[in-house]
Amino acid sequence: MRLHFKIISLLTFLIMFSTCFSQNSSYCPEQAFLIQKYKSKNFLNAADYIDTVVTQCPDKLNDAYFLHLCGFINFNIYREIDGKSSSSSARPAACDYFIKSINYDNTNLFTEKNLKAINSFSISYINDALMIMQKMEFKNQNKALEYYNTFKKLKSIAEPNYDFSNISIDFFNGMGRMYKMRYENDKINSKNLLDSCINYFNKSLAINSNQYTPNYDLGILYHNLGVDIILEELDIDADLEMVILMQEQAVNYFSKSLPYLEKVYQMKPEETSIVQGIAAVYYSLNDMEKHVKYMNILKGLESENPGDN
Amino acid sequence: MHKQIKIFLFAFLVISLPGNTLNAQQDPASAAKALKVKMKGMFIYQFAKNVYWPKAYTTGDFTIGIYGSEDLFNLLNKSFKDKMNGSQKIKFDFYESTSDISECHLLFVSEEGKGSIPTVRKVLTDKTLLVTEGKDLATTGSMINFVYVENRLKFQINKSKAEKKDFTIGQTLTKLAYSTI
Repeated sequence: MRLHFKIISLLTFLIMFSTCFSQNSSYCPEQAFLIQKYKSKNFLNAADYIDTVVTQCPDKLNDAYFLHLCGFINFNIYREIDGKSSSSSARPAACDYFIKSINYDNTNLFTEKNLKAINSFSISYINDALMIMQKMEFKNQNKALEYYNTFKKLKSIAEPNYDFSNISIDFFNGMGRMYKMRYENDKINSKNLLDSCINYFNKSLAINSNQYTPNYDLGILYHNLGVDIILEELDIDADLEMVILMQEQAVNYFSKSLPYLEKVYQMKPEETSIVQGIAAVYYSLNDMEKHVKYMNILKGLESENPGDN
Repeated sequence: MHKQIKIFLFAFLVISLPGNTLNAQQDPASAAKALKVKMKGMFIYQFAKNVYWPKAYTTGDFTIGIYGSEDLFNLLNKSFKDKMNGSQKIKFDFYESTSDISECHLLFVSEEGKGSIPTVRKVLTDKTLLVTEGKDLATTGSMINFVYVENRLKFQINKSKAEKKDFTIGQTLTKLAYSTI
């Protein structure tokens, strides 16, 4: 009877040890204490204690369960304590722990939950990026890019076959518009933002060239650049060489504007602002035949819909 | 999770699109016209600077007359009035009809007024450098003529005609002219 009791006690201890504490063979009492803190929802205290566990039991750094646990400690700090703040340091920490846990999870005991958590974080990152663009928080625009890149990294882990096309288009268009607004708010000192603006719209069009918005934005942007270089930037006293040089640049911008405007005209042939824009570009290029053609189209549209003018 | 992103994106697009449309247009037609006027005005000012008049005409005000384009006159008068051309103060006159044309150093006849060039030439004195815009110098019979070549505003010079009236066309103009005869 006593022997039976001893065997049962030993087995119970072994089961508890193996399931509750770790995949590793070595017992770490600090980890047990960490679990206790986590279970009592003392997340901040638990996070502070992670270093102690690692110091006392360095092999835990390769332990999928320990890393999974650390991920959830930070996950809960991000959600419960930091109120899902985009500046919470617990979010990137949690992601790191979950990714490491997956890497060491040879038996796939924790991977499914790790992936779910990573997916949830990926969405939080893209939502934070879109929120910056929605609120037009210019000072945080670099953060938006950082969040988008983190979203892509995490989502690729959570869903390796995820199609990023649509979300990337929205992100690139949003970034392009932000740069466009920043440039238009201070044209003289923000020339460097133009390249970023054009670059983002082109990135979006590289995914889908048949979008109305970036084609329209680029068409109008190039047109306005051509106008601005003459009307705003060209000093009225400039010498003849400079006049000719800047005219060259303006013609270059007008020529670049046309394909975009003509593309959106194909998409929305009844949109008067597009027809007006194309007519203006042809006027600036002194292609009067085409200018007249589009002015007549414009007249036709305006007579069909007099209320729209 | 997917739904969560989509709802957010929809809200983002709905909020951002209307502002973008409103911001995009800046009255392109009037801007394009203003651009052409400014280019012509700057060229005309540079013609005045880079052509040398016979000594007899280098005293008093330097008058630039505009026939046919009030917008151009307004721009020139606003931008260059009372600036100096050598020792002469620049003044601008706008002529509504050929009968209004008075003695000036440089007369620009716009495309709108090019039908009146034969009449204009009759009233011009040796003091006046005639600047026109048209298909070519031969048809306008002027000394400097604006032409559009490959979407660019350029100018032609009838140097021999100018020299007959003792105008000296500066090197810069000769160098930058689209063609010289």
